[in-house]
Amino acid sequence: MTSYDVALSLLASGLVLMILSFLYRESGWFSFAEHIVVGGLSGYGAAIGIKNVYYQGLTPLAQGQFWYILAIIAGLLLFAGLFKTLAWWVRVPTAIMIGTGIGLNMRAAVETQVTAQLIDTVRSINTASLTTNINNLIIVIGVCCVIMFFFFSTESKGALKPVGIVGRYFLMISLGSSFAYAVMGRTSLMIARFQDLLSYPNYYTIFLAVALVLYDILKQRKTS
Amino acid sequence: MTTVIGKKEIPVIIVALLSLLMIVPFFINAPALNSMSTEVQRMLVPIAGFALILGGLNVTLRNITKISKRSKDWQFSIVLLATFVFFLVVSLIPSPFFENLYTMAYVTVLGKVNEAVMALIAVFMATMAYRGFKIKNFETLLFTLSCLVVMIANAPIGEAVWAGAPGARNWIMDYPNMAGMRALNIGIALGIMAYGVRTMMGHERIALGDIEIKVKKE
Amino acid sequence: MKLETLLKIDSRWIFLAFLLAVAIPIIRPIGLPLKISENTKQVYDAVESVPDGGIVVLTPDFSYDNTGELLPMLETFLNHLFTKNIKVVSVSYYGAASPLLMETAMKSVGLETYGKEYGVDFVNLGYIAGDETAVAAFGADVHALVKVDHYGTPISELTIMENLRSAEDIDLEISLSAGMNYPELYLRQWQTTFGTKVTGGSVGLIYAPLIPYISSGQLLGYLPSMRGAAEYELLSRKPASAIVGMDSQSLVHLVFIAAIILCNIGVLGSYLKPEGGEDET
Repeated sequence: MTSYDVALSLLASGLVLMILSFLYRESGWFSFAEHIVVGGLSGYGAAIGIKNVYYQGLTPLAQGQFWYILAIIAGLLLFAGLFKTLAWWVRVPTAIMIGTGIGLNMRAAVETQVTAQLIDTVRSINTASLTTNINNLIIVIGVCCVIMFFFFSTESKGALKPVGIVGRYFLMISLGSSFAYAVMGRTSLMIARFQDLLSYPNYYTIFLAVALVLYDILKQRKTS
Repeated sequence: MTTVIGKKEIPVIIVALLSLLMIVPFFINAPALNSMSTEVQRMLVPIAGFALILGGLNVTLRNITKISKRSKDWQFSIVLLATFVFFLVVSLIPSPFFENLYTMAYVTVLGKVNEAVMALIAVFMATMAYRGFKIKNFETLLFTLSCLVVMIANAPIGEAVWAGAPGARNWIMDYPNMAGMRALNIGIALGIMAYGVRTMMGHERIALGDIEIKVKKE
Repeated sequence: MKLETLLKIDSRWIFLAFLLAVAIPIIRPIGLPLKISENTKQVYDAVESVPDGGIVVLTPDFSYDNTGELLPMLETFLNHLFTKNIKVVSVSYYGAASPLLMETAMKSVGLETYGKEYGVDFVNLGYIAGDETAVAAFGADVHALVKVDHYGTPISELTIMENLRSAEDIDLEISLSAGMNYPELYLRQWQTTFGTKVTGGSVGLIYAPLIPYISSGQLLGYLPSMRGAAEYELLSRKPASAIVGMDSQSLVHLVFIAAIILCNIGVLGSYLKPEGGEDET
């Protein structure tokens, strides 16, 4: 590890601890690190945007694909929103992006997200295994009830009411399991940060952070 | 003579034409339309690039205004702008002193700090679990039980204590959860399609900026 | 002690318990055994079934805010793919940082470790803006859309790209996604249109909504977050950071379970109070 690597590593862990200081209390340290993140991400994003325009827009244009001028004009029109008198023109590139997006999404969505899903839902409940039959029935009932729960065209009363209630039960189970996986996911991020913080030379910054927190606690006790 | 195509109609026409250009070649064999559709898709990529640049420009202008007006915490805006310029420059121009300076700056510093921001959510989820998982009725009981079973099974310690946990988790995930999520997915797909058709027909104008949603300021 | 006082614990004690649960196993690992699920085996088999000399497109559709979840997964996939004679093409549609993530992963995996060569066995095409439009355009004609790789080398100079003309040439798409729309996007634009096989892994948050696609056979299994990566590391006999992290996962999950149980004992206590009712905290 060169001294350059050590410096970068210490800088990173210092900033990470500034972010984590939010758990103790909100302070200027947190805002400082937060603004660095926003600035850095926007700067890098803008640079990637410039590269994209250059390679995917200007290069084909320079190679004689003159119709790419339309893409460049449409892209430039996005900036019209910055000027009040020209603001309407933003709708043109917006419409282009929305139109293409809608078309691409719709053309295969029926087969991917509806037909294939419905085919897998309609399963036999007359197999040799009783467990399979019950499980298949759970899927059919679950899918139908949850869809009915979100069916707002008719008021949920009479026979529809219990169907909606069962749908809500299925949704609760789904959301509970989803939360459990979200816990695992988000915890992974903290684990990755701690794996880094607890390695050489970053753990020195932890001692410093703990010392600062203790100092703050003592200071607050004195003032109160 | 009245104007047939006004300012309101132009975006709707663009949306309708481009949507059809994407959809039609998918269902019928028309090589000319297909290549035109692919070309339009490719032309969209630089437009998306411009959108990224616009995002950066907006952040810059906002913070310059904040500094010039000496708004609250304006000093942080200087930090933000300095970082913005640094990353913009090192990402575009190779450093004469350090090889791959932008990769190092991004990977070693910025990426880690960015992840720390997201990692905070995990800690707040723990307090959320403590404050929000109160079993008050059958729905909350189902929610909590399904969450507990999946959590126990996902942790190796849970598996070690309760051998049946993975089986119970798999059953929950593959049957009741799957049924609920499938219905949600189908609903979302149908909703997006309905929204798409409405936009193509000009009935849904929010996306095209005809109707502005006004947010009440506190 | 009154039971309802359990509802009034200061949040900062929970924060502290959480952080200790994360840190302690990193300092002193426990090494709990891990069972491999059928789902992980399905993903592994999908990679194994790629023919000799086949093309796998690896799409790291996540950014640095998800490295803890998906970077170990990316590395374990690369380690497995490079042990076989498979061409790996990396491209991202998610965020500008994804190509850098691929660089980070490649640094840790090492092409030379497996005797592979850049441009012949592996290529990083970088990030392409445009989301669904870009995915569709890539699927229709790769060479018309992509002119250079992430480092500016024209793709005409890269031998690996000779046999990749459209999504029809992809033997397997491995999607590592931080957003629900990404696997759906590949299913819509590549699988439904060209019949491309799709598998991969996701962040924990979107795993449950993806189960219907695994059940219908549209996704050939999908790895959930760090747990999925740890199981895959175990299956491909290359233990790394995900397995190490699972010890912390165990303790953190215990903190969550304890928090839920404490909260409900408190609720029960408030119901058992002579005057009844529950404290709203």
